Amino acid sequence: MTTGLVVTGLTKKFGTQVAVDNVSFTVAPGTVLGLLGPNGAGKSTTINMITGLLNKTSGRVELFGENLTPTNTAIRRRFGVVPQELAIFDDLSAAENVRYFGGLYGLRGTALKTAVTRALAVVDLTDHANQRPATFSGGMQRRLNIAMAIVHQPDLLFMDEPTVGIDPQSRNYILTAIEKMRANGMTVVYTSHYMEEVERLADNIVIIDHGQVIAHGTEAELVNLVTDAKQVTIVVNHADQLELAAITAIAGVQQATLHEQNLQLVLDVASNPLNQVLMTLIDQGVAVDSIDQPKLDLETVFLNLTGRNLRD
Amino acid sequence: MITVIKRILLQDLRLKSNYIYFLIMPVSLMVILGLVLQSVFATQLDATVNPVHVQYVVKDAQQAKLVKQLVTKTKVAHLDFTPRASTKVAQAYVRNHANTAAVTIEQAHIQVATAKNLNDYQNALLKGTLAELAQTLGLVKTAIHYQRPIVTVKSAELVTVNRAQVQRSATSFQYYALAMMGMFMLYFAEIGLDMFGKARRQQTLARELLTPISKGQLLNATVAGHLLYGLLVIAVLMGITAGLFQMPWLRALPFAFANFASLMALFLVLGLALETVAAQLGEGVMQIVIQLVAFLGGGYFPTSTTMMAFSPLGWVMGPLRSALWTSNPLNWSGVWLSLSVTAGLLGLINVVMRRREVF
Repeated sequence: MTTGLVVTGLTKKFGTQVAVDNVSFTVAPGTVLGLLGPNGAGKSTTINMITGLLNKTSGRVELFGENLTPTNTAIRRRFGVVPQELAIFDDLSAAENVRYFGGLYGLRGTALKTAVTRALAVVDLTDHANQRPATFSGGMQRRLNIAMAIVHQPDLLFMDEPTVGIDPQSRNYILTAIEKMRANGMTVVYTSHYMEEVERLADNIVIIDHGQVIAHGTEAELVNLVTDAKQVTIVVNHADQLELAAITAIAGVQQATLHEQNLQLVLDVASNPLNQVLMTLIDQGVAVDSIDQPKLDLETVFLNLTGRNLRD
Repeated sequence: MITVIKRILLQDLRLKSNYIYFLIMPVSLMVILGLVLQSVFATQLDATVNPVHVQYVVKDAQQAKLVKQLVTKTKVAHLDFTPRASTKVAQAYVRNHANTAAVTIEQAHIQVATAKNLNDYQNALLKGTLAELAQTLGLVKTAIHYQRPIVTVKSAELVTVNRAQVQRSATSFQYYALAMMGMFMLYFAEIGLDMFGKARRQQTLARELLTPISKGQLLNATVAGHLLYGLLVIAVLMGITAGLFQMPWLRALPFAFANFASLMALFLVLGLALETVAAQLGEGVMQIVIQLVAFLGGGYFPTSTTMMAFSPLGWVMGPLRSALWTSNPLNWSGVWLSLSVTAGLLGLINVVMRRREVF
């Protein structure tokens, strides 16, 4: 299978300052890669180097098997970029903005007209096609920003913090649109410092800090990186019937304590014996009321890996 | 590239300030300066010389008949002759009426006894006519003395002028129509100075560079878009000035258009060049350059050919005036010079911009 995007040893130096340091990752076609990191971590610089907007100091970028160089402009037809800042001509209407970029990607005539209509429909701006962006809300402008990047139906879409500064409703709309695009086979590289967005969208996650990749994998893999045990609280009825020894005897149960009706467990992440614990409780005639399994999120992962929060 | 050119043209046409800058302002200045400085350029004497009413007295009664015949036949434009009984009567009339002269004629000697409110043109006209009259009287006297027939020739018949070969001089409105059109071509430098500024501020420039278009293509297409807009401005201004001030563009239409276009292109690219090498200083430096070029090139008032040679405005103003108001051959040197400098600058900008990491 052809690999979508392969980034190898990407480095960017501004004088003596190293902004991006030996970053490597791969993105499989049809998947979403979340590039997660705090502001100033080097996410945008990485994207700008991959897309050719900035020259790389060293490293290699391969897109769909083709080497991406500044002179290889033809390959740019295969990707689209949603920049972090709004990049819209305020004296052109929404449709004119989208049409212009469609034209730059080589679309003409009926194909261009159809592409503009489709792109505006994806972001639900069809009814506002002839309005100037200045009359749009922040969320609508963000959606137009996306439409301009997808008008040529790229195979790979780079989205650099596309939801910064917008209301939750518009954010949800954008995230849903991305999910639809992924469902249609589009590969997406999504940078954000909002871990909940990355958790929702990304198949794989690259965590960047100080220009370096500090972790790479699925959400579960990243969580496993920072902990080998998880806490689970089970609220039970008929606690008097519970035999704690039988629970602690289950492989993977590191610790089991009972406080009134709360059975508190420390379980191995790797073997995850929760199902076995539940079956044992049922065998003992103990009814389970609820299970509370505090989730380890990416924020926690980042905190564990770097000693600071994503939004610091 | 066509996509970029179309976008630039559309944006230029939608920018309201462009209409003020390149249409309303120059045409207003043409009207204002043309009105204020009308007297400086007054070359249409027919319209400005008032008639002179000559009150003449002939001392000799026999000669009076001859003089009356002569002045009646002469029919000089702007002069009319009225016989008076005495110098006193003639002078009394002159005292009470403007544009008048009292003249006494005695044999072949003619004397202007007094005159009122005559300007230089009226004086010259009066003296010339009286000199001709005196010569004719002397001729008649001689012919009578020798009893020979008199052959008189009207002065108008002595020298014939082929009017078709003499083009009318420029009026003040026409002078400033030409000068203001030239001067506002210099202001295309302002567009050059901010050619990529707005796109940088709006972040659209970086976005355009993420598409398959190359830096060079984007640069040249953007310049071409503004050039097209400039050509449109020139065409519209030529149309307006032809209608308002009877500018004789048709005498050298392609030549005039090429001169303005070359000047506009030069300053558009000059502005871009300044923005490329010294963006912070560009605005200030450009204003100084524009004023100097306008002053030397005769944008404000006529200047010598030496001064005009130092100004790109002069490079086109001189040949244009010559083309429109004389029969001299067309001088294309200004066009070629402007276009050569433009091409050189554009080439240099292309090299610099392509080498830059951030456009």
